[in-house]
Parts: sequence; structure tokens; C-alpha cells
Amino acid sequence: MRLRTKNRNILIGMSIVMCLVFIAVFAPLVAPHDPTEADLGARLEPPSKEYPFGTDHLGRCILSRVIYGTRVSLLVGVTVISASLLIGLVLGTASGYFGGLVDEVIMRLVDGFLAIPSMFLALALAGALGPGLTNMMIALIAVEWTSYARVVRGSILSIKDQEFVVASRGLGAGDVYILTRHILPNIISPVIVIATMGVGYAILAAAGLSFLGFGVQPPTPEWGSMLDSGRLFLRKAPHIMVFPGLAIMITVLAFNFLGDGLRDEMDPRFRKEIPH
Amino acid sequence: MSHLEISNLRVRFPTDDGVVRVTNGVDLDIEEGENLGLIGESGSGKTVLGMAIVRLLPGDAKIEGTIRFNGRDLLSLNEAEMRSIRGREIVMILQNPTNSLNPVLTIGSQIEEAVRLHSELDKERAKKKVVELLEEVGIRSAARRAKEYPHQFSGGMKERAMIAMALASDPSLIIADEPTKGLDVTIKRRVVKLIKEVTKTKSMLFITHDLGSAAEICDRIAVMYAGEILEIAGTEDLLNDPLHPYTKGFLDSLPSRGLKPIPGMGPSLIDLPSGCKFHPRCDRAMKLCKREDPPMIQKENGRRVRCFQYA
Amino acid sequence: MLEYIARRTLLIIPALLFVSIISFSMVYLAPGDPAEILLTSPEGTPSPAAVEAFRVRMGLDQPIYVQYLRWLNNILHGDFGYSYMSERPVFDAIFKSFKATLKLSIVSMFISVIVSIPLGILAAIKHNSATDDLCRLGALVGVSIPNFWQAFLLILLFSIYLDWLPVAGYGDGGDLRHMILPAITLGTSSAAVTTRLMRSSMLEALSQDYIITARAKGLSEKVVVGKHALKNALIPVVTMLGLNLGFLLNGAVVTEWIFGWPGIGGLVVDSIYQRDYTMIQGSILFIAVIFVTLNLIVDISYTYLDPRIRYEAKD
Repeated sequence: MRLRTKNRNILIGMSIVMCLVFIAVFAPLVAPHDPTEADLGARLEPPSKEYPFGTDHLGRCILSRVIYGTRVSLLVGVTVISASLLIGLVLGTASGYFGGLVDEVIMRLVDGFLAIPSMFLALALAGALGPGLTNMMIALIAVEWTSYARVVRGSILSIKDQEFVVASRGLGAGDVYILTRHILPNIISPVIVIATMGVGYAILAAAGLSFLGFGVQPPTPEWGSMLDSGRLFLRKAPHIMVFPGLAIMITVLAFNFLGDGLRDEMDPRFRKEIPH
Repeated sequence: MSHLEISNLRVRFPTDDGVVRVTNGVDLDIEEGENLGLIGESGSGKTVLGMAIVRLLPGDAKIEGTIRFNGRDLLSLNEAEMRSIRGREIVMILQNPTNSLNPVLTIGSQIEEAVRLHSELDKERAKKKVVELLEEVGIRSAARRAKEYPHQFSGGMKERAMIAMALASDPSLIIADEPTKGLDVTIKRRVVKLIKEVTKTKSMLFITHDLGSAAEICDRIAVMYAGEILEIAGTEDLLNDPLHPYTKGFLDSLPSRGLKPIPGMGPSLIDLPSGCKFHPRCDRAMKLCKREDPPMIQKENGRRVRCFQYA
Repeated sequence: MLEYIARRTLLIIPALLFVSIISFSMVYLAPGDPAEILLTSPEGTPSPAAVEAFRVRMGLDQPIYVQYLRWLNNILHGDFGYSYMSERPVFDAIFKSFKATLKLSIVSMFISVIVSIPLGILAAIKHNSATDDLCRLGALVGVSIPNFWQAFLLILLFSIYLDWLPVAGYGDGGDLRHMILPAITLGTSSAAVTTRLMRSSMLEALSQDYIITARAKGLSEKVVVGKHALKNALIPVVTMLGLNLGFLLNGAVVTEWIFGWPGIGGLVVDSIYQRDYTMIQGSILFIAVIFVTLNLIVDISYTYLDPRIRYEAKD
């Protein structure tokens, strides 16, 4: 029997993510070499038995660097999205639930952040704060939090006047109780979907910033900066560019598969209907 | 030869939860110029039956049996042949005009499409015909209203527009699916009157759960339950002397006759009861009813009923 | 409805004010004294006198809020100041590079539309088939592929191995040969997003009752899909296309930089490298104005594309 697409997407996405987490955690065991160890006698070597992905311009093992790079990328993706989610959840909830002036102020703030295309904002912030992992993550959080605030606010607005919430209030329930018991459980599924895809997006953006030199600095193995250093050897040693890029794509793809599958699973519109 | 003759029609939908048996061996016939009512609760399979006739069911539906229209078996036609009948000789008025009219096209252009598809009229004449059709179904300042979009029409007006669209090709058979659903009483009365008027010279299958409207319009009424026809009779006979326990229950549940609901619920179409589909809710059920499917029994006046009581 | 448009337009003002504060304060987010950093050259640290002179010349000796208000006032009068590096007028540089970006974006958009709309429709018509799966997979890959990597793959294939197209550059005023690779790179994610949206929008339209009505009239499948479904399905897609034009700006950052395309994305990256603060401030503000205006136009056009909303507009 053919698996239904949505389940298949979740399955594919989940398996790849699991593999990546495993690789990140057990990087020292999986990697054949020390990722920062330079073998100057074996520079720009094409893939071989010794170096399955070849070596870079300093003679470092690309496979090992790609493996260790998983750590940075997953760390950045998960940290950025968790922080954005937290900020978005707090501000979005306050905005949607209390309305009025609170809502107005928060939404104007969101508008302000959204007025600059995200890559420009992240780049300008990362550039201003100076290079480095933490600064890059701050820049990405500044870009990401707004979408969560908006989604959370929207979901709360659509749910707060529904009968079960009004009834609960009529029975004397307080704001905190209503929020935690009734509203949050109801908005969690759209948030999970966009957060899953958000991790992929954050990894992609982080690699881009590192590629431009605003993120993680060498010699820390990071996919984006590996691509940057491979840039100069494109003619001579294209393999330097191929593998880190592939790693980014597969990782982002995995999160997109997962998010896509989750959305199909949670969206009742895709359920089957029979005319009646 | 009947105008429309359905025999042993079975429609099933495979789903993740099991096979849904929507119609289970339906036999029906409509004579030339006759209005046949098809009454049943929602979920009894009446809409699916209507859609099966014009072959508009989703692609995964499994259809068996025969549907003869003027002697031709519609189920054996290819799609191109079917298209020359659908919309031209048989038209279907779908339920819920709000969703059944395309929101981004004007009412006039949607009717014009039907006019031009089935006639040789040029654009100019087709537009004229559209206005005539709208006038025929009682829409005032039709020329102006033809240029409006569906959401600018009220519920009753949309229903009239649907009827106008159905009349565009001057079909010989109309299948009307719940055309009075959701309309308030006065508007419903007018729409019923209009339908009766425009189908004088046509045959019609009138699908509804509203017995009042059916009684007004139809010559005969068939009662459907869990995908089977339980009783067919002339309208007068059925209303005054219902035979099947379900028909009796259905009549008694009407507001005008005491509002006594039939106990229990309609069966699951995935897990149908054995024997007579109605036996779990029937107060006159015998052991036999549980075991065996009752046959259709012929009575006087061409009445037919599917119940062992009359065997 | 008019009230909505008015409110929507007025809300741009606080947003842009916020942007102006953000872009202005970029200078002060960075550690160190901008004047000192800027004057530092390979020959060594500048003399205190030179730094002081530079500060006075650039107005950096004033209190921050005075600097900000003066800057804002100048910008409102169309004066974006002069580049710290080249001492050319900032606005001229921005405007010139924006034209290059616009040119590239329009070609990217064109490529992405002619690929994505037919693919999205095809996937929807062949729902749940192998074709559909392939389109969905392609779309997912399209949004997941890093554009800077894709750029190198394209260069590797078309410029290095096949030697068909130039590696980078603007050529003769941005000719087509120089434009193809950056335009494909830039258009990929937009094409992917549009394919997905077209597909789901089409599926949604095809599941509506009015489609059954259209079939019940006896219309051919071509008319049912191409007219009745498509007209409805295109509304969100056309709206999204406008937004995509804004998002193309994001991709322009890396793409232009890699291909040496003299657009605003590359300009910002280079300005940041050179700490050319007046240029960074001016470009960010300029882009924000463009982006916000684009979003406004999209919002308003949406209300006019859909007759249901258009009708309410008359009330």
C-alpha cells in the first residue's frame, strides 16, 4: 500500500533530522579526522579513500568539517527559533489577548521590523554588532520573532471570543487560567508548523551570513564559511564547494519536509469529503 | 420506455476507514414529463444518486448498475459523449447556490456560458437570451443584474439564477438537489412555485428533505434510507396512506404532524445493518427483518414498498 | 474600505520612522568610535587631530539626537549625505544600484512566473500522482537550496565547464548573457514558493462547488480548469507575486555580491565591509521605503482583484 503523502513527508523529514542530531552529538566518533587539523602536504585534494570528501586549501578533511558543521547549524537553528518563539509567544499573546494600547504598540514595533527585508536587517545588524556566533544569532532573532508574534496574535484573536473561552470567563476564570488552559493549547499547532520550517530558514540565513563573513569565524567548521573559503578554488577544486552546500540543502530540506508534513496533518482542509 | 430508468445502482467510496456504501441497489424510473420527488434524511445517499446520473461523482467513486436515459446507458458512455448530454439534455441544479456559483464571474456570464455551449447563438443574442432567462425566473431589471456578481444576490435570487442557468439549454430532464434548502418560508414558497412553473413540460428528479415542497411539485415520491429506496408512491397516496414504517415515522416527525422523531440514528454507511437497513429503528421489526433483505413489493396503484409486512 | 486604505497608508509612517532610527543607530551599535575606525588605514592609527577634524566635518561631534534629526531632515529634503569612502552623493549611488537590482528582479520574476504557474497548475490537476509528487519535491528543494551554493553550481556548469556564459559582471550595461545566471539564482526560491501556492490555490478552487456547477453545464475540462478554477486560484497568487518582488531583495544580497552585479544588495554588503555608514544608513532606509510601498500596493490591489472585497469597497 502506498503511504499517504503527509505521513511520508513527516517520516522522511524526521529520519533525516534524527540522523543529523546523531551526527552532531557523536561528531568526534563519526568524523575520520580532526576538523581543524591542517595537513599542508595534502591541500586541495579531490575525494579519496583517506579523505572521502577531499581536503580544503589548508589540507583539512572536508568530511570531518562537514560533520562538525552540523553542530553549529543545528545549534543556531534551534537557538534562534526557540528565542524567537519565546519572544513572539509573549508579545503576540499580550498583543492579541489584551488588545488596546498594548496591541497597538507591539504591532507597530512588528511593522517596524517587518519594514526592512529580513536579509538586509540581519546583515546590517550582524555587520554593526561585529562578526561572531552570538552576534549572528541576535541578528537572526531580530528578524525571526515578528512572524511568531503575528501568528500567535492572529490565532488568539480568532479564538478569544469563541464560546468556550467566553463561558470559562463567565464561570470566573482569570486571564492566566484562560490563556494557559484554553487559548495556548489551541494555537500551538500552527506555531509548531512555522517553527519547524523556521529552523530550516534560520540555518539557511545563518549559512548565508557566515558565507559573507558576518557569522561564525574560521577555523570553526561551519558550512557557510566553508563555502566562502572554497570560493577562490572553484576552478581548481570544486569539491570544496559541493559538500558543504549539499549539507545545508539536505538539512533545510529535512525541516521543510517535516513542516510540510505536519501542516498537511493538521490542516483539516485536506481531509477527504464525500458529497452528501 | 421510461425517460430515465435506474436499475440496481450501487455507489461506493473507498476511504481510509473502510468502504462507504452510499447507494445500495437503487431502482427508480421517471416517465416523460413526470416530476419525481426523492425524499430522505441527510446522509441517505440522495445527492450522490443525483450526481451519479450526470456522472459528476469524484473519480474514486465505484459505480455499478445501469442508468438509462431515453434508452441509452449513461454509465457506458465516454466522457465526450456524456458531455453532450450533461448540461444539454440533463441539467443538475446543485444545492447551496452560494457555493455553487463562481464568485469571480458575473451571474450573466455564467448563464451565458451555458447558453452558448448548447446553442449556435452569437455573443449578442446569447446576452439577450440571458436577460430573457433571468426575466423568466422572475428577476427584475435583469439586464443590470446580469452584470452583477453572485455575492450581490440574495439567497433566493441566487437560487433563481441557478434555475435560469438550468433552463439555458432547454433540457428535458432536470435534477434539482435541495433547491429550497436554507431559504425562509415566503421565499421558499415562491421558488417552489417557480420550479413547478418551469418544469411543466419537463421531467424532474426533485431531491429534498422537505416533504412540503415535494408534495407541492411532485407527481410521485420515492423515500430513500441508507442508500435504498424504501417506498415509492403517488404523492397523494404516500401522504395519506404511507406504507413503510420509516415513511410513517418520517411523516410523524414533521412539525405539522406532531413532531415525533424516529428513535435512534441513521446507520453508518460503512457498517450497514444486516437484513432490512431500517430494522434497528423499526418498532414493528420481526426476526426475519434482521436476517433477510426485504424485496420490493408491488402494491395497487403502482405503489412499491420494501417491507416484509406487505409480503 | 477607503478608511482601511487610509489607515494602512498612515501606518507606514511610524514603521518608517522606526526604520530610520534603526538604520541611523547602526553606527553606534558597532564597538569603537566610527571616526577612528574609518580613518584607520594600513599605515597605522590616525592622529587625534585628524580624527577630530573628520568628526566635525561629518557632524559626528554633535549629540546623537541632533545628528539623527539633522540626518532625517536632510533625507526628507532628498539629501542622503555623502559616502564616507568615495565622498560621492549617497543617493546617486543607491539609485543607480537600485536600477540594476530592479532590472535583475524583473527578469528573475519573469523566469519564475513562466516556470511556476504552469507547474503549479499541472501538479494540482494531477493531484496525488507522480507528477504532483515531483513538482512538490522540486518546490521543496527550490526553497531549501542555498542561493550562494546554487550560484556556484551554475557558474561551475555554465561558465567553467561549458564556457557558455560569463562567470560574473555587469557586461555592457547588464546585458542578457550576464543576467541569465544571477536571474536564475534569484528566481529559484520565488519560483518554488509560487509553484506551491499555485498548486494549493488551484486544489482549493477545484474542490469548490462552483466547479461541479461548471462541469454540470457540460463545459470541457479545459474551460473548467482554465477559466472557472484558474480565475479564482490566481487571486492569491498574483498578490503573492507582488510580495515576492519584495522578497527577491533578500536573495539579491548574496546573489549580486557573488555575480558582481552592481545592485543594491551588493552595495550594502560592500558598504558594511568598508564601514561606509552613510551609505548603509541610506540604503537600508531606501530599501525599507521600497519594500513598504510594495507591500501597500499589494494589499490594496488584493482588495480590487477580488470582486467580493471590491464590492464591499463601494459601501
